[in-house]
Amino acid sequence: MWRVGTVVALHDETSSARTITLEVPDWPGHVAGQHVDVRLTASDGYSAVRSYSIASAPNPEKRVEITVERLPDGEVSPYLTQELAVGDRLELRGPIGGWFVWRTEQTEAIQLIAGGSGMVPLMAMIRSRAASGSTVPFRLLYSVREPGAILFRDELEKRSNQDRAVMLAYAYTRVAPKDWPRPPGRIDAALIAEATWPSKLGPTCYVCGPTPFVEIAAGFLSACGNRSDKIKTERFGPTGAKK
Amino acid sequence: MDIHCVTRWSKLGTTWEGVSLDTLFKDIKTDAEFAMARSHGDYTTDLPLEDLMNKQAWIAFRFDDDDLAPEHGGPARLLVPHLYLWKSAKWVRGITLMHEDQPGFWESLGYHNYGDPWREQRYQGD
Amino acid sequence: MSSPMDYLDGNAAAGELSRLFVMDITTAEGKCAYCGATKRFAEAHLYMEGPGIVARCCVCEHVLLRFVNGRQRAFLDLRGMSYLCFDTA
Repeated sequence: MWRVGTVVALHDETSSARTITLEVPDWPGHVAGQHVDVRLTASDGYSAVRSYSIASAPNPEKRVEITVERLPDGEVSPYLTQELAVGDRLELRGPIGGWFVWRTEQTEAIQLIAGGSGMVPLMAMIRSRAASGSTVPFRLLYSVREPGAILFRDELEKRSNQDRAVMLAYAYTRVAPKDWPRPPGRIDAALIAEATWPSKLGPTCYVCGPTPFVEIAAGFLSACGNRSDKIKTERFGPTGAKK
Repeated sequence: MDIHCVTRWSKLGTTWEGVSLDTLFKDIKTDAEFAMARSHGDYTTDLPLEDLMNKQAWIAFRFDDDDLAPEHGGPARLLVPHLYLWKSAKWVRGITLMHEDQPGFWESLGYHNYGDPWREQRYQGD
Repeated sequence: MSSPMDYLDGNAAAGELSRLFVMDITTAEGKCAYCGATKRFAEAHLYMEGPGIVARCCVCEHVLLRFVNGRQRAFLDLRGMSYLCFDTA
């Protein structure tokens, strides 16, 4: 059940998020959107398990990338983002999940909506699309607090600049760049209506982020006429026990 | 409920405010030996009545000088510090007295019926 | 009830439940035994902060599934669902 991965690379995406590249010799392969469970065991036997979405596209090199956001009172994320070093090993279980996935055989237009670190599994989908040579049109609406919080920023710019079928739109909730046409604020019905595929195109929509964000975004997609079986959701949140 | 019966106490650096079960049950006469704490969301947990008495249990509604937040069990939760934490039922809305013990939500799915941390009674059979 | 929006979804339980289910549970369709709603397990409201996992119907919030990972035994209660339907094609 549990495999062992060795850290081969670390890359800071933002001041609080780090991508960890693991080499997993017996990795069976994965599909974009799936996640892994990571287990840390302390010397006294206490163990903690956390789920992280796979950020990397399926690849033949047995490499799995996860992008971890450091939570202020997290138990596991501070260790993964600040102490884990190249050469260290991690226990992981997976790949997990068969619903919130994008497969390269899909031909319909795809709408991606990310809230904060919800961008990670959607990035795996964007990368998977590129690696497979798919020409399916992807539209991404990425909601973040401020420009510094954007994950994979340079890569997203590059991909959307190089490929007309990958469209990118940002929404800022707290601080927007200077001269940004839309004042900072939460996503609303108007933004969804303007920045997403028209529902009559029948896109499959993937929404990922904190629960309140997902509920609101999925609600707007539904209000725009997208059928509920075309809206796939994945909710992120802390899973450490609250006392 | 008499507000002046509210007590404040600190444990492990946190301050709780609530009403002790001794106060709440002051005028209750019963020969029941067990209690089932019932919470919103259909959670239940069973305890011997004597573990709720003698300054061992409170209904807490304030934490660190603020109303008890929902994620900590607010508006009101049971607090039974001498037992494992799942016995301190969050979102409590009632306590049913019983003559015979019945397992609650987690006790009926493998958790220990009593839950004494000193004897490490987390699961059935421990 | 727990605070509004203090839940995840069925995707979050898939790892733990993969010990028991050979097939992926997130795509399985479950029928709520209380309100009759039929939804993918991925859409269930998932509460993981207590002593175990509780999945609730996203329509009526009644308990669909409870899971406890004990010391040497795991307990699974599926009474909240009339059925779980897996695509075996």
